Amino acid sequence: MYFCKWKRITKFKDMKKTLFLVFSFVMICFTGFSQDDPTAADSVSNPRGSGESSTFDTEGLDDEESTVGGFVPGLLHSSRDVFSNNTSYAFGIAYFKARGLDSKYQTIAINGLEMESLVTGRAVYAQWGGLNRVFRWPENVGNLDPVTFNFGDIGGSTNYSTRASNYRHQFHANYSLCNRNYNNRIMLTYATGLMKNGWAFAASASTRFGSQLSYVDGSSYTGFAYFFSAEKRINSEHALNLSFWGSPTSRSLQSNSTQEVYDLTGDHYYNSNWGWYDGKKRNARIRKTYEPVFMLSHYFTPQNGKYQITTNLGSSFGRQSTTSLNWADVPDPRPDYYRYLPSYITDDTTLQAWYTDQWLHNRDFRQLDWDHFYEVNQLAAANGERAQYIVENRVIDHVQVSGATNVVTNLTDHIKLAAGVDIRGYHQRNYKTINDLLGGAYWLNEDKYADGESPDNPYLLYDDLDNIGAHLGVGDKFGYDYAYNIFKQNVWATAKFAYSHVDFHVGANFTATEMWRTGYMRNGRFPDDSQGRSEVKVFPDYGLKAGVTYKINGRNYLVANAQWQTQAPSILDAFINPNIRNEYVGWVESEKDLGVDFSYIMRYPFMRMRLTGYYYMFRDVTDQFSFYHDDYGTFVNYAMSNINKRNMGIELGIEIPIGSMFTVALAGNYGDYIYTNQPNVTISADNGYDVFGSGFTEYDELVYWKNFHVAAGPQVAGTLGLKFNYKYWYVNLNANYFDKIYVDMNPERRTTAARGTLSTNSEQYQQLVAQERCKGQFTLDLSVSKSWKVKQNTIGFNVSLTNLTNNKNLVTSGWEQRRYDYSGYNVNKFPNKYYYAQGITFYIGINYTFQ
Amino acid sequence: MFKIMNTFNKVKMMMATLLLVVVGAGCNKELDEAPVLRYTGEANMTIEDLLALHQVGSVDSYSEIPEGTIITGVITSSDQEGNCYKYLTIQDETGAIMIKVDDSKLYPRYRIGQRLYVECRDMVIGDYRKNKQLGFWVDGSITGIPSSREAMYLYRDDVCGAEPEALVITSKNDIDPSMYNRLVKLEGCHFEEGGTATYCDPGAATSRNIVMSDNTQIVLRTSNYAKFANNVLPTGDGDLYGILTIYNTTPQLIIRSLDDVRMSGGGVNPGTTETLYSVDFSSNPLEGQGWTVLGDAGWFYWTGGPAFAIQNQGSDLIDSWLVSPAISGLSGYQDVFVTVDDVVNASANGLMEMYYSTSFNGTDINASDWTVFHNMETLPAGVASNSNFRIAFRYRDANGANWRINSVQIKGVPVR
Repeated sequence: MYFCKWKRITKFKDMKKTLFLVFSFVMICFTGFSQDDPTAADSVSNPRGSGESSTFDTEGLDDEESTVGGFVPGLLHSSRDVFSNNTSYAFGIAYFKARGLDSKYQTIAINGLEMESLVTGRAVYAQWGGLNRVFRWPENVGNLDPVTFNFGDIGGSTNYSTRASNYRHQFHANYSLCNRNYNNRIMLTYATGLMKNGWAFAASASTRFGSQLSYVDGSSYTGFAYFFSAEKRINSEHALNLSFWGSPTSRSLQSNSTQEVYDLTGDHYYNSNWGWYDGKKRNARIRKTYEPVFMLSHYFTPQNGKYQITTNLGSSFGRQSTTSLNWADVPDPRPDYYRYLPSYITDDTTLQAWYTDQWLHNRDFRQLDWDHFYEVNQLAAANGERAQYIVENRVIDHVQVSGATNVVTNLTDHIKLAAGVDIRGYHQRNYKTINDLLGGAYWLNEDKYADGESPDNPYLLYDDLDNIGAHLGVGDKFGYDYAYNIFKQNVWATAKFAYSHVDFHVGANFTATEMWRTGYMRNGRFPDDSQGRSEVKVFPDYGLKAGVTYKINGRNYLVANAQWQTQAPSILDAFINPNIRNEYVGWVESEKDLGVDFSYIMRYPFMRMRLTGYYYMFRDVTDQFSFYHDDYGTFVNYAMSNINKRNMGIELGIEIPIGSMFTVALAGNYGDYIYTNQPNVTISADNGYDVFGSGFTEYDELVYWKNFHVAAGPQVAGTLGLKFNYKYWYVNLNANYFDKIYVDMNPERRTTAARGTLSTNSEQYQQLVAQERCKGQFTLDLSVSKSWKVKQNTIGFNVSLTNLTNNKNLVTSGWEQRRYDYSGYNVNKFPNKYYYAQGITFYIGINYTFQ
Repeated sequence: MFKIMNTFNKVKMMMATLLLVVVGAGCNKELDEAPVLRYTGEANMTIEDLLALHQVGSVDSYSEIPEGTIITGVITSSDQEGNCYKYLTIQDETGAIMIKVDDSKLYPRYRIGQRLYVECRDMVIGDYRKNKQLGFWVDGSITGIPSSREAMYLYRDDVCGAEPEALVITSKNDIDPSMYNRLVKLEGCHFEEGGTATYCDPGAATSRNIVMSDNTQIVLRTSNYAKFANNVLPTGDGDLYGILTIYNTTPQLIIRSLDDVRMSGGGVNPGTTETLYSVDFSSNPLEGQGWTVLGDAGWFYWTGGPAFAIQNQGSDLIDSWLVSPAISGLSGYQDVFVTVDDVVNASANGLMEMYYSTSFNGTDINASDWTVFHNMETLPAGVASNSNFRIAFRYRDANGANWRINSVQIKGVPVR
């Protein structure tokens, strides 16, 4: 099969021999370097998603073929990467993930201090949302390339600096108008630069608001942000910097639905989360985030200039909360619940027609009925009964305290060494409170799903055994209350070696992660196992990386990188139903990741190019979720372990200047991301009872999904761009194509339990296992920017129009529902759900900069 | 320049290699496949031996089964068309048995031709009107395996195979007890009422006569829940397939679907029921459709359903009547019945009943005659065709008891 496409290409006939040689070389690189690490590439890239696409870097190409003493310059400090430069913005609309890597495989640091949540492994960008100007130029290291501010993850590393003296002395004002999540943004930024007295200050403030122009009905957005940084140069060797910032934001959430609902409403952005209340659109799902960060940095640069030590102490803390409807003994109030859809009502054509008609023509029918919630609650309250509907608030409070220090030194002219230590402590408390009783009298801390499950154990019903029967009001905790605690210590070192024709680097790190759960509520399902501290688990992990750059000449480079690492599992996957239990999943262990890439980089005045082949392997990955199991009639916990995956593909970026004003760019990724084994699953019933009819409360099975695709955005993406640049006019036109967009699979559908005795050729079986591949889509983007000098000052604007052809059929994420109709083998009972990319969006910004 | 070309060649090679690797990877690999369910144990008793454990007596009774007994057989029944309800029949070379299962949708998993193993565990073998069944003995009769416990007793094995060959019967006199619960083929027969009667009368399971070629008769027994219950029996001669059961002394054939009926005449227009009236809940039926609330207030139009709903939170009884308008358009139909989709939560002393009347004066409940009827009960001939035919829902309850009516339909079969 390897040669399936190549038989037709006769032109390469004489290449057989060389092909073999090169193929061998690639294979050696892929295998031989698996213990080492890579080099290469560059970059300071455009902060994506800020809308500031006008900031095209015009850094010139390096024209010199070779320089002094036969020393060929390395790739660092060269112009920006020709692939990411042309794709980072254009591919954003499709939720493209470079190399199919989840963001948890990226390191996001500020001043060298890692910012990822130790619970999710992902950075919370919202912590500095709206502060685009001061978080503008991070140091970006692509994928497996060498890093000097920490060890680096396989998906690349980013480091923002908030050092006050790094900001140029100027005042910057910006107003933006757009039809994205918010509609308006005002941002003011001022920096003093380093003053003669050794002080430097920088500050920024912004607000984002308005949602009338947004695509999604019933949405709202209000955000504020502040930033302050002060630096004092104590003497020529020491400097101290204190910075803090915060971004309190409140925004509404969009629902996701099945295609049936989108078709009935004729709207790919249909939002079931809102309903009319008091003449206004009220959204039941509001997310508020406010997690300020403090950071104290010390910079030590000795007189001899041989090394630099940077030390940081940081803390972030705050709250993220999300409201949601909750209900007791009443039907599911969500208008798009599957039982309210015409497809569910199959045995009564009259009723089905009626439902269809309501969906098509009655706009209120599609939305939440707040008045009804109030009516029911008020009636109940009048009778002294509990509220039937409430709005609950799911709260996540966290405190992180972290410290890191690193040293960077040039050991010799050829050797640069970087090493560091960082320590982080993370405490995250998760609980629910009552946000709004909706006219009701009180709420009870009871589990509605437990009702009637076991008549011989009445305590099953109570989420809080120590407060049975308590009448809860607004602000009271209920449901669950527990904390995740994580400590992580990391030591790392990397060394870079630069010689005339070869650069290489090596690196290693060692990490220890301790985790445990603390329960604060004694749950009726697990009275002995829900409160107090769980066992502490410790995961020792390590990473190794290496890479080599062979400089053929100043124009042509061959680069190979590799990184191997083990990573503690997310605490989210470590516990069986962490909301209420202290019990670890049976076989929780660190995952193992391998990343290898091999690139050819070319830099001529007439053409810049990077061509890369990459191969990533993931072993022993864990995953976990809960869902309502229709066969067992209860919520079950689905803990997956030993998931193996493999991502491979090629990246290509080419830029060809045409004359002095135009550049044609072509960039794309052809990837193939698949599962490579049959992972284990442990299914356990939430209620801890034998609901399987087998005499056990949990059972294990295998998921047969080898060679099925991992859902990781479009695996094929390409863009053809035309850039124009003349007298500070910048125009970019990009035509983009996305394909191989797979929906995320429900593993349960690929098990023997789900398949039963269906024969392979049966239509039912084929429907059951088929993984939907969404249709490939084209989009078109245009951006224009221009700036003028007015004396010392600059005024400028930028306009960017995304998805000019208004394509509303691009699926950004799709997934199979976890619920599955075991008894009927009917995959259409719980069909796939989707999010669609927005149609045409605009972003207009006006900037004024006083020097 | 030479250097450049040289490099280009290298580039070409590299691109080719990379493409090869990726295209190779992209070529579709064989997708994984979960193994079919297999049963790992072995059967240790034939169905014949199992049947021999129980002797049928004068009344329904049961016998115990030795611990660890496992039987196996191939499934012959299907509830897909609603005629075989809450049971499976399986057979091996030695005999056949009916397994009671308290589950109304068995066919997707337990299909005809599927090999099934039964771990008998604590089940018993007993009889219902002389027909032997496997299940549990509760309060004097055999009940089914609870649906949540199926996995403990029933084990499918391998993909579904072919339907077992049917045992040919040409006369009632051929029948002996070893054939009960088996798949049979009644060869050369016709329906006594072919072309005139339906498979089933509305409201209750019905027996029809099958006339064999020697003029002996076997009963065809059809449930009113069968999807084809209202189809007219075909004419002509032919063969019938189905499960042969016994009811006291009467052998009965139960067909699984119309595919089991292979008559030469065929082609009879099925006399399906038609929906003659249904409440339109898209707007308030209490406004403009003629529905009224009489007696105590209570019934209301619940937009959340939408439905008619009533709930009395208080402790004093209320007696609230929801009365329909006079319903016309029912003449010209026979076997008229009312079907109601509702949710009833009545208290012990409550009364929630449905009535019909042909004498209501429009205002005074007590001045007219009301007759209780039940869901899907066939109304007496002539009642529904009365121009003042009305139905009513009476709620007489308290303490939070509630009743919700999601749909009300009146159906009937056109008079031929």
